[in-house]
Amino acid sequence: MNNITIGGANFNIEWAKTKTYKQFLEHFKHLFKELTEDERENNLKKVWETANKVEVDEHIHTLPDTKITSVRKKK
Amino acid sequence: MAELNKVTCGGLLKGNTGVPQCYMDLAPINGIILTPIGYTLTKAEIASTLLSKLQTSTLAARANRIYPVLNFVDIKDNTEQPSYQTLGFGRKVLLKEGKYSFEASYLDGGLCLSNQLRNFNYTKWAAFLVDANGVLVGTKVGDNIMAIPLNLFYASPYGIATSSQAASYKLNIEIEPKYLNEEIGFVQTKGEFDIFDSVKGLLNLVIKTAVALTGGKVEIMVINSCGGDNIYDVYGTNLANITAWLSKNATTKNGITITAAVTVPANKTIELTLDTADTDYPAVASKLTIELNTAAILAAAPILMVGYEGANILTETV
Repeated sequence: MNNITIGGANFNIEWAKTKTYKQFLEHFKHLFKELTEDERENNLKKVWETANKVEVDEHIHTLPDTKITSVRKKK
Repeated sequence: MAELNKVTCGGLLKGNTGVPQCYMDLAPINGIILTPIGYTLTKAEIASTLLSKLQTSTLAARANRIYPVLNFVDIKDNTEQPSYQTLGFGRKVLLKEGKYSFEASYLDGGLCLSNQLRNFNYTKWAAFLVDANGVLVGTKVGDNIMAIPLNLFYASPYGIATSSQAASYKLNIEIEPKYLNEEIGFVQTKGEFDIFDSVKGLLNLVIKTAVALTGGKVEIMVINSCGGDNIYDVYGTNLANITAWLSKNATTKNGITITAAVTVPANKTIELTLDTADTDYPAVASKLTIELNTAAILAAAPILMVGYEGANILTETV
């Protein structure tokens, strides 16, 4: 699978595999602006998790870069 | 084997005059399929994959592509009569056979198709003829059938409409007699598939910049080259797919990664996001190009836009 469509947008999975979740969010900060922040992040999270076959929270906890935690979804 | 002082008399003693129960009797030619010179359908393809071979060939790269024009509404036989010389005592001698020549009229596609077909003028083409019963006519080469090399293909300028006559669109074809006689090859497609409905030419799509490239994002409108209508309402979802698009560095021609494609309903456009960190992404003030992918890619899953080809390449400045 080279791409995936979520929320009407089609994403390049191979490219997403090469990015951290933070980089991924930053790259697509212009997408889904019509959605709420939660909906927007959920869409992007699904894409990144599908590409990387890992959950965002797990990814963030295993990254040495502590700044990455700033993009964690607030509960 | 060549022999000294011996004349070879061709088909002498080959012919007979019995009348078979079942024989080929071509109906009016209802269309042609233009092909590159030498385009051939093999025995195996004729037997089992004829339709898919023809359909695939309509989507192929230019060197191997075929171009169906299967919508003739009239045909006028302009075949040259044989030339004779009448000798002094009245006996006639055949000097040469006439060449097949016909003028075909079509209506569907109008001026748009006419101008597309005029791009084929002044170039050597081959063609299969297709009669009204779906018989595909070419020339036999071994067990295969090859498209007939044309002496002439000419799409005329359209004929203006008058108060008593609609606008007219015509093609002129000339063929050597041998290809439709001794060397004819034909395949009956009727019963297998409807060639007129199943084998179609491509339509050109033109892409336009709706919102210029900024920060790796660009919005593109896709319109029909004939008529200029935006195809978003029909194909917007299909085109919102990274597989449908190609982006390249304008200088190096190396590909640039497209990271996402999304519809923009308000503008009826497609927004592409490019990877600005791609090593082939140009420096500021340099250029990149964006184009639709090949007709074959557009026709296949996941795009599923059968019968379309991008006609232009956009150039954007970073």
